[in-house]
Amino acid sequence: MNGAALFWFFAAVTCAGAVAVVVSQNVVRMAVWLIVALGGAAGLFFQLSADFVGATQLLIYVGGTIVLLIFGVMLTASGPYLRIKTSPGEGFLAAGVGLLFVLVLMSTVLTIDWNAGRLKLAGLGKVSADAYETALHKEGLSESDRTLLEQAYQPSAKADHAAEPAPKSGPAVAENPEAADSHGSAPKPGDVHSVPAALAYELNPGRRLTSAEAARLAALFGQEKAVVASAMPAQGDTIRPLGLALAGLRPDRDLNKVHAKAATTPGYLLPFEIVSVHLLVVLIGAAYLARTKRRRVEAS
Amino acid sequence: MAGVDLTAYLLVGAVLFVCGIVCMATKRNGIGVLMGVELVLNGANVNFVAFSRYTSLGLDGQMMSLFVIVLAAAEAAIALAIALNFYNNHQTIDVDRGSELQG
Amino acid sequence: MFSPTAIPKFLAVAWLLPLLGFAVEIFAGRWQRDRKDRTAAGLAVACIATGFVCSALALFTWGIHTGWAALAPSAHGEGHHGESHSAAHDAGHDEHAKADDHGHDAEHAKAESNDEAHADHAITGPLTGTFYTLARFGSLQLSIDFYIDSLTLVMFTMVTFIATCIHLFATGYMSEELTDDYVDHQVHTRNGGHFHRPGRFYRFFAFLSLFCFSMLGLVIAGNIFMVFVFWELVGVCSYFLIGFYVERKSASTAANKAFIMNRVGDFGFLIGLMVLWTYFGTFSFGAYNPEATGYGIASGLKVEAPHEGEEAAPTVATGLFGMARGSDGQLRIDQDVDGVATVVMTQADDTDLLDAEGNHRMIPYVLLTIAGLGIFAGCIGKSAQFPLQTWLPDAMEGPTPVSALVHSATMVAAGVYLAARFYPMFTHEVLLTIAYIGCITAFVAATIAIVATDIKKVLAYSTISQLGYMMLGIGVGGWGAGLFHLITHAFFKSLMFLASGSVIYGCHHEQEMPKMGGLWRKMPITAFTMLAGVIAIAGLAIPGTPIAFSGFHSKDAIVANALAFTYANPSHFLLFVVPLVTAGITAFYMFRLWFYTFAGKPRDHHVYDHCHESPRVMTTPLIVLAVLAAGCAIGGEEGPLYKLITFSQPAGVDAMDPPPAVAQTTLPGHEAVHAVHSQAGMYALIAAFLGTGIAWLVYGKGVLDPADVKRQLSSLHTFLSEKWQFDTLYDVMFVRPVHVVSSWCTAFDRVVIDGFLHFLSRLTIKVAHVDRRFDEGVVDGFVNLMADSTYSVGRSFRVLQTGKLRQYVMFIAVSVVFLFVLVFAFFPRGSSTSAPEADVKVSSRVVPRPEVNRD
Repeated sequence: MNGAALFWFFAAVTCAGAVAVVVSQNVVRMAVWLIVALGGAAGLFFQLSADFVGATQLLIYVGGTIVLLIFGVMLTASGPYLRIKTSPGEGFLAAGVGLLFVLVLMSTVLTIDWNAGRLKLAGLGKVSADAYETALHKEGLSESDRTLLEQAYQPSAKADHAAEPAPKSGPAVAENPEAADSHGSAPKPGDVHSVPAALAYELNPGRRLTSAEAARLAALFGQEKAVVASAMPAQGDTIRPLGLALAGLRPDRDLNKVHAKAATTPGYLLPFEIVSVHLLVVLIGAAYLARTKRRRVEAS
Repeated sequence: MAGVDLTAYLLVGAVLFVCGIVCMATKRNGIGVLMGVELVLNGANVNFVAFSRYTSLGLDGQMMSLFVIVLAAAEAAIALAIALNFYNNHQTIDVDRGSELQG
Repeated sequence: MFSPTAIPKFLAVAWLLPLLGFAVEIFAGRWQRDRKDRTAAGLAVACIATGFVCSALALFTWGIHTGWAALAPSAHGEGHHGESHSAAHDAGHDEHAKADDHGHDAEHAKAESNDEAHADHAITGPLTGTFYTLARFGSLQLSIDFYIDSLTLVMFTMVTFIATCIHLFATGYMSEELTDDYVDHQVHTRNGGHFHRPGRFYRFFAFLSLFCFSMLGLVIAGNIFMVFVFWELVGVCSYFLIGFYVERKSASTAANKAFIMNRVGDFGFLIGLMVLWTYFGTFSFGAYNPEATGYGIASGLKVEAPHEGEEAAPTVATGLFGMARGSDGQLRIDQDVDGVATVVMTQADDTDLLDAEGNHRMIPYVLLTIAGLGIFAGCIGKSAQFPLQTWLPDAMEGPTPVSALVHSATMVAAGVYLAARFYPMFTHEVLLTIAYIGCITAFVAATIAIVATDIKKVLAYSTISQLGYMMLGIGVGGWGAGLFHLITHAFFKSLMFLASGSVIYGCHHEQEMPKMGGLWRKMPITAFTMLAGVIAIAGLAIPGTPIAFSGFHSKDAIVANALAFTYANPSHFLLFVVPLVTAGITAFYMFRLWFYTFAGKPRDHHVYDHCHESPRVMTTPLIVLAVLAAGCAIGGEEGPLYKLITFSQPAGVDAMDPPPAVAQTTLPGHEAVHAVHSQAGMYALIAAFLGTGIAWLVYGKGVLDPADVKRQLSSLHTFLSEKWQFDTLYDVMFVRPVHVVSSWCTAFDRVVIDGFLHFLSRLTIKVAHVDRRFDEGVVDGFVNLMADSTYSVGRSFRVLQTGKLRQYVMFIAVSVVFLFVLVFAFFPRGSSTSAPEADVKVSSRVVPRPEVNRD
């Protein structure tokens, strides 16, 4: 519950800072508000248990980039209180467009079902007839659940599915490595081996499922946790994995993978090097660009 | 904890992003434009980290946000140099004065 | 050193040295200090003199290895390749002792002292071989061959010797060129002055060297191809030298004339060459081994010759001469299936030559005749025979040493030499043609010489006349006689030319005899050496004694052959009468020349007072040549020179030739010639004395005024001094018709071709106008339309490009919003599939979130 409160606090600080940056007319004030906004974002990062990113945000952004910007403000200030006003018309226009933009984005965020894409990964694609019957005749099954089951599944159309060797044990197919560690359910009693062939069920492609329906289906098949398993542990401590990833190693994935023979996940050594070189070039380029030059005689 | 999920973070990111855009569109001061850019980048960063937390993206999202931070720093340095040059050439930091390339 | 294989080496050195000299001298302008430097001339003289020494050495070596068989009648019997000219030697056997008395003890002694060389007699025939193979195309081999027999050696020695004398003379004669500012008094510039130019002393000698090289190459050549190459080279050199005073219009015209006239003859030469190549399949004269490459194959050597290091391969291919005639010197004339006369080719062992299929190889008699005529056409051009004789007098425009060289040793001699060399290829018809051509030439030129007043022109016509004699001699079967005359003539004609050069030099380039007279007091050496030459060419002798100048012997031999030929073929009596008359005329005009120039009273005191004897460098060659002109033919037909020449006489020449199936003439054998020899000599001597006497009477004593005669016979005089109107004739025959035809061609060109072309061009312009309208209207219009529309579109978009950063950001934001709205409008709920919406009624807002937190 503390987490939720903190989130709202930081979100408010961030949004307020950002809005203040837009609104304020003085550059120095803008810079101060920017610090506030970025600091709030760092807080959000900590909330997301991305402690290393948060720390980096504070160090580099708040400590470095902002200082750089303030240097820029000082070096380019032609008067002590420089105000370059925007015309009110432009301001209103920008505000209108911004409002539209934020509305568009928000509606997008809210309308998209972020979990929909993960349903199949959770192993709900194909179930044996046994499992399906078992779920359908479970005790205390509500009417809506029954309808869902009937709508979502159809008998497998192809007869040759029978010839296939046993489908994976039960509906819980641990295709997803992330999901593998979190599900521990035992196979259902009515195993596919004892069931006559040609009685498997598969998802009806014509019936799209929402994430809630998917979660309900998973629960019916005894797969509650598999659906929404998160990749990241709730607590922080991401410095070591991040450092290893930058060095080219992904123990967080490779140690958990199911198939020992699967290819080792690559790390970020090469991007790291690229970024390093990039930074070096930028450093030199910035120094070159910023050095004192002969002032151009104004044309007018 | 109902309500604090991916969507909430994405909303914050969206606010940051749009603030940055509006900042870029309204500020006549070149440094202000830069600040707008920083806001935009931060909005993206928030999204990255949120996805990293709530989806199977895992560490990759964080890694991406790290790169974004670094590149933002580099961009800030370059942009500052550009701003200084702009100032040298135009005796002002008003970006509206740099309209030599108009059609 | 004196092995048989050394002979080609000696000759090659003698041949190539002038080329080397030329290569150095032609660049003398670069390496000499100035134009007064005589180094180049010294080099040229040294080269040709060394060449003479080498030639003499080669002749000596050859003599050793033939055991001097050519000179000693007793030794020739077994050494010869089967021909039957032993009769000549037998007939002259009793006079052999006399021949030896005449100063050839020395040579004979040398032969005696060389007993072991004498013993093996390694050389039995012509030495043939290859210096270097240039290329081989199938069976055709282009190579630098040599064909060396006594004729080659005598020619080499003669050419190099006379050339040496002329070179020496020229160093004096051309000394006026040793200046940076030579004034050519015969060239007038536009402003009335004379032409000035740097002296060209070294260039003259460079060309002389090249000339000698070409001539020697022609003499040593072992195949027709090589002959042709050097033949043309001789022509080119004569072109250079005749046109030496290139600024003079007359000189350059004369050079062109000589060159073009020669081309006319060479055309025939080329035809003959092609015919021979087509039927004989080889260019080579003598036998050679085509498998062996390089130098050293001397097929004339006996295989067991002790000096031959390598085993000489048996000769495989027979040369042209061996193929055409058998070893008895007869053409094998056969009738082929159509009854056409053909000549069957033979091998060295007199068996018939078979081709790859085993058939007899043969050439139609007519074609062989045509080939012979073609070759002889080349000789006509080169030796200035009728009807191509007109270039030679014009060639007097060159410096006098050049004239001497051209007229004695090199160019004109080349024609006679070639005619003699190809003697085995000539059929009787060709020989008869040669005889008549020579006869006509001799007479025509002699008559013109009577009226010529230019001292060099007289000599030029006498040269043509004498060349006619040589041709006549060859044509009537007097192979040896013709060549004999060639050699003696070379000596006395070079002598006379050099003497005339001395006169011209002494008289400051006065060449007209009427302006001279009495010059012998001023230039005695020139006068008396000239007299020796005149006596020699006139053929005077003391009757009943063997005391005679060289000309007598050689002309005697020719006349004797002609007489014998006339006896054998009475219908051709002109071939004897005309030369006899010509002999008288020759004596007349030569003495006329001498009396005119040297005797009597000075006719032009200006010339007389200023003339002087030439320096010693010029008179020394005169004296040497005078001695040789008088004595080179000593012994006559029993003398060493004649025997040397006739040693390599083609087989069958001097036998009484039985009339072949086709030919209508009979060649006199040696016996026949000998039988009429004294008779002919008497006739010739009478004619010569007559001519001399008349000349003395008219020009020496002044009994008859030449001017009176000229008046009385004015039309004849005009005819003669116009050179029998040959130039006019050629003008009418060739030049005018060509002009007429070319004017027709011009008219045709102007009217038809130009008209057509003009029509075409006008048409093209019309079409181009139409095309232009189309281009401008349609093509350009379309392109312009495209461009204009693009431009206007760009202009309208230009407003968007405000250059304002913030507006751009604004645009982007608005666009994104717009895109979002679009997407929402067309794909509601963000779904990208066409799922039926009715199936799903669940709103995401109310979906209970699954528990995510672990706590």
